[in-house]
Amino acid sequence: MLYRENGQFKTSYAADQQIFPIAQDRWAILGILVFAFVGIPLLGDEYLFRAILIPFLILSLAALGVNILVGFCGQITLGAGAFMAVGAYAAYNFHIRIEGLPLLVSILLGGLTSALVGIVFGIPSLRVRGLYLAVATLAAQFFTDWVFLRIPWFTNNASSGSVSVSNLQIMGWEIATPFDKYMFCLVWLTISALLAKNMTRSAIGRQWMAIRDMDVAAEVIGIRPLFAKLSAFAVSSFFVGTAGALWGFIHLSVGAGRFLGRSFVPVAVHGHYRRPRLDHGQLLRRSLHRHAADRVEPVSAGDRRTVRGHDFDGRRVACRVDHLRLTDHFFPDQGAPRYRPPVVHRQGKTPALAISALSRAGEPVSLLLELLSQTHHYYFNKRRH
Amino acid sequence: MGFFIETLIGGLMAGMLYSLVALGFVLIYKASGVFNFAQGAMLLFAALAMARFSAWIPEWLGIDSLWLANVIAFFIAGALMYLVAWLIERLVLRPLVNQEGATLLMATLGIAYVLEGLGTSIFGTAIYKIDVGMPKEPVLILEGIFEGGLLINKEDFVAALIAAVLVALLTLFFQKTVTGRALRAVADDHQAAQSIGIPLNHIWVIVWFVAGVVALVAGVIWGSKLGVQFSLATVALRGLPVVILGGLTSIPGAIIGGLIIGVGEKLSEVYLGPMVGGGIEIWFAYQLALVFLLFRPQGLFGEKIIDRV
Amino acid sequence: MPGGINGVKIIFEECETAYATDRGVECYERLKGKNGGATLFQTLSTGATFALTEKAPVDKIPLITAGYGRSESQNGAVFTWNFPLLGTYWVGAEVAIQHIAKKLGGVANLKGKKIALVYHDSPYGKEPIPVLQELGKMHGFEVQLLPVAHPGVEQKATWLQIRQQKPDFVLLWGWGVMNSTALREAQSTGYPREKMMGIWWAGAEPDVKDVAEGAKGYSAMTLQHGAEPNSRVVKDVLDLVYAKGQGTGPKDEVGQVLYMRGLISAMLGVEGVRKAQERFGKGKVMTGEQVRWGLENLNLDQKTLDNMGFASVMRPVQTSCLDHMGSSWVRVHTWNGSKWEFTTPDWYQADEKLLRPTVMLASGKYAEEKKLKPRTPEECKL
Repeated sequence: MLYRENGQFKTSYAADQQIFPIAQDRWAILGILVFAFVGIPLLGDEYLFRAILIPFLILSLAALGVNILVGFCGQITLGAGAFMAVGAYAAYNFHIRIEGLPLLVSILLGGLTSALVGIVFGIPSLRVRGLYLAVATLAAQFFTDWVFLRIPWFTNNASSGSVSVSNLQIMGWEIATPFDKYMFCLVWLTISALLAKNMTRSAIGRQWMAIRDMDVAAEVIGIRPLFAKLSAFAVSSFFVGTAGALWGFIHLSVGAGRFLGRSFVPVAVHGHYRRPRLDHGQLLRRSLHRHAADRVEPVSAGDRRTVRGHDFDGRRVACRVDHLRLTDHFFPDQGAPRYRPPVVHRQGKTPALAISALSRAGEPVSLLLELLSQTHHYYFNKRRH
Repeated sequence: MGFFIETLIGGLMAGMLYSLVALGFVLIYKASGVFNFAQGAMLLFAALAMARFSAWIPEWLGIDSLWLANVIAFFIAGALMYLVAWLIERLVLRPLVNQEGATLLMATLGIAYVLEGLGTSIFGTAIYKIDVGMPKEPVLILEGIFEGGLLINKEDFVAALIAAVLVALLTLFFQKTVTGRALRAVADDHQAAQSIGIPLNHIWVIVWFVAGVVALVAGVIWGSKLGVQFSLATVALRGLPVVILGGLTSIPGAIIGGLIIGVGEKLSEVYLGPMVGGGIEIWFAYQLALVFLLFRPQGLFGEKIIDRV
Repeated sequence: MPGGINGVKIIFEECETAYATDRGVECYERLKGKNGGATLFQTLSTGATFALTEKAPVDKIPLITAGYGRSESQNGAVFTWNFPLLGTYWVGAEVAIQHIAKKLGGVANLKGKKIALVYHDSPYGKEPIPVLQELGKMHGFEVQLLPVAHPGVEQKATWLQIRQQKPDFVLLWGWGVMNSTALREAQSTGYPREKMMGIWWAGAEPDVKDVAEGAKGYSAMTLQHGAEPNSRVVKDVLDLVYAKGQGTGPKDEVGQVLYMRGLISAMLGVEGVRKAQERFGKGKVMTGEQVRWGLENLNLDQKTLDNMGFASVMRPVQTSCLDHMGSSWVRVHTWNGSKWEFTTPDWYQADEKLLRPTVMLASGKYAEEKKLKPRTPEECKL
């Protein structure tokens, strides 16, 4: 990175939890948005819009979807092309089969269909991981290619399998010129990006990242891999599906076998390195202790720097930093950094989480880990006091 | 019955050829933990080199013997694969040592693009021929037992034989030679291997070179079957389900996975295909692998993945 | 010898699209406005043709798709800017059946026969299916469909099925490496190559060259021309272009099947412009709209063709506003192990009476979907 957050002190939670807490990020994004909405329309010509920028925006939307799955949830997928095709064909079918369905609704329905299909193809991720999963997702790619070629209903019996829609309009706004199309895609992408960004900052996003950083640990502290993984597949496929629908409606016609997943992956994996400010791997290990401990030691902040964040239920927690390392002193953080009474883990949702982690029959590994960490913490605390 | 056996044999032989491709993946993954997406490109590159040199050498050296030209071309192509392996280690692997799997995967995607581009710009984009004297005509056997006899494709048979010999050689190499043992040590634990004095970088060059030779053999066989042109790289897509079915770290896994996939896809295409409109074999192979994975997430013979918190 | 078309020099540009639709579209967008606007495009890809069919009317640029593209775009009333000159896949399919009928000694003998279609599983490969099925119903033969997934390097299962079902003929609608692979598999399963017949994209030198003797007896339809190394136009190209060192491709490919197809495509484009100049002014630069008129009123009789050096290469072409194809002649040639040879008598003409309704039906459906109003004969005269 060219810049750091050093010296940018946050004096309120609002400041700490804004979308881009670092000023440089804020200004850069603002600059890019202004350029995209004002600068490019002034500079671009038709060729730039049609051949470069529109596909660029649509593929960015698809990459956004892949980023959620690969970058935030750590499930490597090569099936993005398949979900683009599903979204495109679904949107097309909704559009032509339901008379008078607004364009926006068609695209959203396309995305939702893609999300459903994404959940189905995401099921193996509960069992299969890493590179094995990556190759397994190719099954989706080849299968959907085949389905759209073989079942003529999806293509409205077009012998060639290639379909397209004309006369696009939204509430009287006819999307005809390249400029209109560009603006439509840009607005769509901006809204989607904002949605995605907020999702990754919320409880569900933290769950994804926890799964990515270490799924066993995440499971032990009570994150349900079923929900976290499948929700990531669904959300990711939704974005990819809407990208497919846009590709079919706005850019080119819809045709099977045109969407190649492979090219998205390098883009999306960059998300992998966009670690949140709290290192989740460490956060996880620490919170493991927290759940297993008898009590959490209160810390009065002010004497040392305190790191604050959300835990996986979306509650505020804080953690002390000692020589740039997170200590295992974790406490729920409910307001300004001052003395808080000790919170026993049996309050709130924690027991439920602990029980759910413990009661998973057939998960002896996590059980063992839970026990180990308990003894460890016990020993650790005893020695300290 | 005769037809069923014929399909079965056809599947087994196709499976052997997939195994050859899968073997390249396994070798590299085993020794360096890299999932080498460039295996298809390496295959194409090696086959292109072989095809072109076997055509150029008689021109340059005035050798008449096809056999001799092929042997020389094979060695030149092999040397080229060594160069490729050395360059990959130097330019790609060394700077990326200790990086995550996904990063290395991406890096091999890059290698794939470079090799495909380089190969076709050095050697050309037309369809080239590799003629190593593979028999093309079919034979009929057991005509007394089955009506019409069993049709055996001689070319596939020879190819399967070569694949089997190659696997045996590789197994010997891994089990009996000093280098082979070093390779296995590196595969088990990079750091431990290094601490007892095994040169990691050199080992990687060797592994990529061995994978390159496997790619070359596979390229010669596939190339003599199909002709050498850029679609040859897509043969790797056929090898992928084989690798995950057999397990990323197992050489026997690649062979058995190949046989299962080969038989599975041929039987499915011939018997299920007509019911649903045909063309199902490629996705069927992946689904088949997926079903196996649901029961054994690390493939049939892969090392068990153990997570520690 | 004056250069250009009536003195107007041509600028042409090429894009390597690797048969990818989006790259084709990118190229189209990039070049359509260059140097004052493109006069015409040759997409050389069925996928790109489908994608550009809706863009061309907006930009008013004709698309020449000689021997490929959408079959129903023959109907110029609906597809006003597409020109599938010389032939479509439907023409190919119909002629293939004619040829088979002739081999069998009459259309009546088609009854009860089984014809397999081994096709590239894509819009291109699927084009002939409706016509074949229609003909199958009419003549009483069975059509067996055997799709091959792109790129077609693995066809063992397909040919095992052919070995089991023993179809009387196999039609090959392949692409690139799929063609030679099919021939090799035919060889190794022992299916007689004499009973195999390919479309014109499966009937050039690269498809059979490496199979050599193994493909002997295999025949393919051609878009009128075959390999024409002895035609005058090829000699002219060699003398006037290659002798000066200005040739762009390998010299030994000049006159081969695919070279001839490119040459004829280019010639048709140039003649379209020339025809347009006859009406809108010789020596002037033609717009896309004017060239469309030229292409719609193309009338190349045998004398003109002979003068250009295309004697015995192709037959006259005459297009109209409603017929954007202009000719439905097809020849069949056979590979003898080292080169393509015409068998005599080899000219076939597709049955327009039979194909026209299918074209009208499909193009009518397209017009309805897109809410287009087909041109009337009056509009055509403009």
